[in-house]
Amino acid sequence: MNILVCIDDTDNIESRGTGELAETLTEVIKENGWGTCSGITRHQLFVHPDIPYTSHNSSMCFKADIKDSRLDEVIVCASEFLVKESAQGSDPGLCVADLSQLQRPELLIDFGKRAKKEIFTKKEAYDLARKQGVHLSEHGGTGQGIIGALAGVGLRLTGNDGRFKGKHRIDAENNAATVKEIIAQTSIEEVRSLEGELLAENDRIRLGVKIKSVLINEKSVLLVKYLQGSTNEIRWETCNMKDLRSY
Amino acid sequence: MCVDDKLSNLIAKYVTRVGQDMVFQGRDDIPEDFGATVTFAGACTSFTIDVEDEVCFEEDQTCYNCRYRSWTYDGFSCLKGFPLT
Repeated sequence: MNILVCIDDTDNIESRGTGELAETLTEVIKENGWGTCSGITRHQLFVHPDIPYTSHNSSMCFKADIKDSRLDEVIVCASEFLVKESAQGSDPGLCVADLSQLQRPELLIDFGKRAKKEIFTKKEAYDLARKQGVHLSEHGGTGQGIIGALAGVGLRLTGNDGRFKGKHRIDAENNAATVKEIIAQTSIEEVRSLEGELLAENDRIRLGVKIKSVLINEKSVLLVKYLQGSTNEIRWETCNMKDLRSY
Repeated sequence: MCVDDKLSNLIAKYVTRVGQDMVFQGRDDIPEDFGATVTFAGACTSFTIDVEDEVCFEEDQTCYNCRYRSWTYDGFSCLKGFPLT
């Protein structure tokens, strides 16, 4: 079965980030033989004075393909993991959604999109989760992180939100590689321009300092921009973090 | 706090107290404003690079990349209160 797992509000200014905890959780699931996990995505939520967050108000979500009989164990394990690993003063929340059981995923998607620009209460999050059969639980502090955790699942369900955690490493001569080489060496599935143009296999890309991919149409996509003033075969360069801030 | 004149002027120009928070008033797309955050980061006793996923400008040492900057609706505040020397 395919599930989405999302956690939020697990850190304080001195602790490990929520992304690192999500990554550790994927390793725990794998080590226990419960299933496999793929790409952790970071989803930006509303930044507003009335919403408590450490520094950026984002949640971390990943997809897992687990054995049907292991769902309860995954939830219990993730819950205990958050209690044990979340930082002092944090308000951790956990959301786990069985994708095959979602009756109206559009309601979760709507919640996720609205959580980028509106303030929700815990009650609203719990009500929606209950109606949709989604696991939602809090594991310390005020438990406010459940709102971001549920929103993160909704945003991941859109297939078009967030940046993938981590950066890609590509072996390349002179800091340039073809689309084919990039796809062969990484988990990147497509290379597109910021305007949406799909690049061809033999297009060459100038590689920047940090190579990050984003979630577009449910794929891990490397975004590139036109290389101004290029006089050789390299017409594109990878986007930098400033270009990717809206993802 | 011991700061030189340039730093004093930048603080006076860009940093404002809002409630209990020390907020940066500039914009990252204005070179002069961005330059101020580079100067601040270089003079800061608490600057610590944030986790990789939260670094915004990979080629610069700027407050925008610091784990102690907290995003606000239109900018950021410094959780350490801009401890510059």
